[in-house]
Amino acid sequence: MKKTLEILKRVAGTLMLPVIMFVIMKIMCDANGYTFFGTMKMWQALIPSIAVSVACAMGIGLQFKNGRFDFSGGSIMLLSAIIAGNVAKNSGTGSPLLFGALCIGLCVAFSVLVALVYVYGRLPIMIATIGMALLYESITSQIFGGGGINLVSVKFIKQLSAYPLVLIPLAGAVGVYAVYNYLTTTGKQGVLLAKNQQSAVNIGVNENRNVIISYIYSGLIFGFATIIWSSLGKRDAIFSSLATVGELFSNILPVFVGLYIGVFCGDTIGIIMGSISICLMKYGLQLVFKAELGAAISTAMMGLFVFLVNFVAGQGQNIKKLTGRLFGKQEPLKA
Amino acid sequence: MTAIAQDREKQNLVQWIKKHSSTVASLGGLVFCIIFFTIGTGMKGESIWSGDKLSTLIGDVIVTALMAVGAVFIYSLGNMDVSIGRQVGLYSTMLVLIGNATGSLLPGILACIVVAVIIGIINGAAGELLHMYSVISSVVFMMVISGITTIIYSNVGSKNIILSGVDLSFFRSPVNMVIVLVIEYLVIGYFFYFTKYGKYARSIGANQTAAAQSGVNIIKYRVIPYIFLAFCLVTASLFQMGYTGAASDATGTGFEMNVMVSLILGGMPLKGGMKSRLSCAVIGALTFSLLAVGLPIIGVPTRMTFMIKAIIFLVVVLITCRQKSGPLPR
Amino acid sequence: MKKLIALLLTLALLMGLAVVPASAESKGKILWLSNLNSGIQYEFYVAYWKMIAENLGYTFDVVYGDMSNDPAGNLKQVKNAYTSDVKGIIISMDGGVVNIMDEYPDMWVVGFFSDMDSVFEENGPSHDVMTREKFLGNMGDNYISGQALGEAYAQEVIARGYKKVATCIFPVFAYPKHTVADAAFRAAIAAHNETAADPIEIVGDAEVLAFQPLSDSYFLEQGRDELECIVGFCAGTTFIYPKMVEAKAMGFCRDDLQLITGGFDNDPDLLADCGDDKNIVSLTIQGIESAIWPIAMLDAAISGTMYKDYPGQERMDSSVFTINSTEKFQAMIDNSPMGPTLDLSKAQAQWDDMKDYFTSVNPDASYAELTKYCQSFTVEGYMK
Repeated sequence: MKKTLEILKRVAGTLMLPVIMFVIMKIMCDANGYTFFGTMKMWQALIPSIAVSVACAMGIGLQFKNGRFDFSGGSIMLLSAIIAGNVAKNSGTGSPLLFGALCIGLCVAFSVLVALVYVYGRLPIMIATIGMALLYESITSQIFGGGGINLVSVKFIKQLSAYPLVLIPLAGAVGVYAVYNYLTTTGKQGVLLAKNQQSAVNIGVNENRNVIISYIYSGLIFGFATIIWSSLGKRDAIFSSLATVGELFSNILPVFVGLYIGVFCGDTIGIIMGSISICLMKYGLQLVFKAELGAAISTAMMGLFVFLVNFVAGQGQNIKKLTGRLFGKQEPLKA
Repeated sequence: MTAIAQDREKQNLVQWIKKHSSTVASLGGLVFCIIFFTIGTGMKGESIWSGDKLSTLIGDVIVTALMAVGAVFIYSLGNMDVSIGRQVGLYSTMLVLIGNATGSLLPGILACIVVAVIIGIINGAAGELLHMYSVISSVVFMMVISGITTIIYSNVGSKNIILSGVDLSFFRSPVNMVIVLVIEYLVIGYFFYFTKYGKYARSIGANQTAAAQSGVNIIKYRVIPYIFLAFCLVTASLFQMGYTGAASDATGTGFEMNVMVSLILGGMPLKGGMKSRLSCAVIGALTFSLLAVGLPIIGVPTRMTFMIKAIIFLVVVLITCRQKSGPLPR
Repeated sequence: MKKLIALLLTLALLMGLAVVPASAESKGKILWLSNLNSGIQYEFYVAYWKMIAENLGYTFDVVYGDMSNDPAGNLKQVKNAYTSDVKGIIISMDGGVVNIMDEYPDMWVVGFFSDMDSVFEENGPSHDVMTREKFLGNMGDNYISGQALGEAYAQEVIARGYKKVATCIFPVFAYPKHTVADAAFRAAIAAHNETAADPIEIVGDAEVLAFQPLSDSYFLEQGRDELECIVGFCAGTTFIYPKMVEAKAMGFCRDDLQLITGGFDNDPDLLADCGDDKNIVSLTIQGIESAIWPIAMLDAAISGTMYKDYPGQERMDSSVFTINSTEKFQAMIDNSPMGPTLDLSKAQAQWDDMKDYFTSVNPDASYAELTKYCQSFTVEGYMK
């Protein structure tokens, strides 16, 4: 009985946020005449956005969980998309496998390069990743005439970002993240390093090796994300410094939300639920508020939503006291 | 002077350099840029120190430097504020709208200060009071202000708005820019180095637990640096808006990254602590602006300037920020 | 040893700088404050203006404008790029024009490839520029008037026999012309419907795209799944086309849904999807050889030989390429400079064709003739 209750509590905690979000958006959309909200077609249309959000969040979240704030993810994805897209298009093979392999291979290579600069340059992680982001962004303006890449009309690539094939790279990203967290020593050592770096090193964790391997995994995840993201629209080269860092700050929101939901279900599913919640909110708000106001209001509301989630989760102990045993344990977060 | 005394002096100098290697290296980067562009632009028949170019350089530096000086306080806490750019955009917009409505800058400045202080207090207190990552509140403000700014311009019906009927010549003078920067530097420097506000901010950045156990009110001394930043941002917004007399929905885009890059180039430790220095703000801002202004003069194609800046950034940080021993820096 | 290394490095540095060739004697430099930073149109303008400038004795350089058209951003870019030999600038981003002219009062300024609303509108932020002698006027991006654009698109829709269409625009605060164009489009369709046996239905209001692609829900909304054509006054190839392709793949819209819009991209995969029976049936762009006009105006002003019949600052249409058939798309690919690779030799006007319109070459050149010439280019010119 107790075990069943525990399971029910966890399921409820996991689904609470996306379900509440769905219900609220459904009410708002129906009230404004958008009755297709919640239909199968809507989900089919939304899944590519959710897939990109999940994959990017996991790529960023993997390093974030290990105590590393990585600014280079956006630039890695863009540079990989431009190179992989141009090579795959010009190869004439029409092979999505070639494109996929290039995306993953390039993302891993660029991520490992970031790791090497961090490890052997012995620079603070933010500085190392900012420097590499600047470098990668500058390369995008030099290669292939600085024209970026447009894969929207390339059918053999575009199919990878549309339902149902988009589920393959999504599954890949989720799988890599789960394997890293639950099945690898590196993942577990990463948690040790995040909690107390010096102690972890003292007990024998090889930090250099751990970092490089973690970046291989985050590179794999970014590779899957790039497969989807690169053909959702035209991707321009960068001509102003650190323009891709905005990708970090918009994709890190599901990480923040997901790490709290993860108390109930582990952060793999937590991030998926967080992404779904945020995508639903964005979709619904843009429908209801329409036009230029829709995007603006959606951005502002997303910010407030993340604040609210973090506030509620941060008050976990207080709420637990107030309500009995509604929520699970929540460690107070360090600022 | 005897040989022994000379040797001792040399050793003291070497030790001083070793102790302040980060400062020396970042200053070295700036000095190298100065020498390089002085020679390089001269060979192209231009001078980076001509009236025009110096004015361009100062105009380029001023907003970033004004923001960065205030941001040093925040970064010394070990915090990061990613809403700086959006705040500057919002305050520039408020200055134009209120200026047009009232015919004077003063009400706009006061309104901006009130808003900035409120945002600063929330940014500073939220992490500690609400038990959340401190960067979250600034991400939230970045998004909320972005939405608000878009709505404002949508209601105004134009992408750009201009301030009319107010004399803005003060904000266009390079001399005034330098004077204001110096005054801000001295004022913030006084608080940073000679008062408990700066000392406690740096100690919180060094070790918050130790600071709390030493009796430092963490919340109070986290909030106060954000209030200093608020005044600096309003000052920066005045110069940002004042030069063109205009604001747009894109004003301020990316400024937080310019501040971060400038501080890093200047040798600021991003995790804060006792080694935080105010000079990082000005050194880094100057170095970055010298690159932006000087590279086109010596004939570097525009697209190549991005790559050169990235390489120089990496080289400078490898010299200034490298930690030789211990676990990997965070 | 350290001193020797330092000396060698310094010498290497100085030699490296010395190797950079000093610029040859020229009449001055012309800058382009560009709203593009890549793509075939960008490459064409850079190469074309460079060619013309060299023939006239100028040097030419590009300044990337602030992509958000922020006045301070544009001013900063121009200031960073400005050198003492700059005599004139072609401006394609109107944010901060007045500030640029305040900063450099001796520099000649001409507008091109932009509607310059901030200058020509009565309450525009840069309207003061109209009182300045150094501002020479503007040639816009195809039609200046939204009215003309809307009516042209309406004729296209009527000619193709669509019965159910929808429109997309950019926000009015950024692109007021699109709102005017949309209104003119609807008026023209309404006028057509008064006498038509089968009236044309315009589904819903114009969809306003806040510089984001068409939303995921666009085709799920009532009536949109049966659309036959989307008319995009905005850059449809970037903002509408991707979602259209996605929607077709998922069965959210008709298989034969087509797009009428503006903008040109020489991406082979995109061009393969342009034609009478393809996704994109019509693209309207600025006639690229109109680029002769701004540099001719600058040359006249800089060399002190302004056209005798120059009427003062005015705003005008450029030549318009309406690429609305498979043959025309093929002509653009095969016979225009904007094919898979840039080929200036395919331009409709080479230096020998245009030189007599420049007053520094032909003092009797006429402004009216220059303008007429620059507005005369058509897609059909590539089909001869």
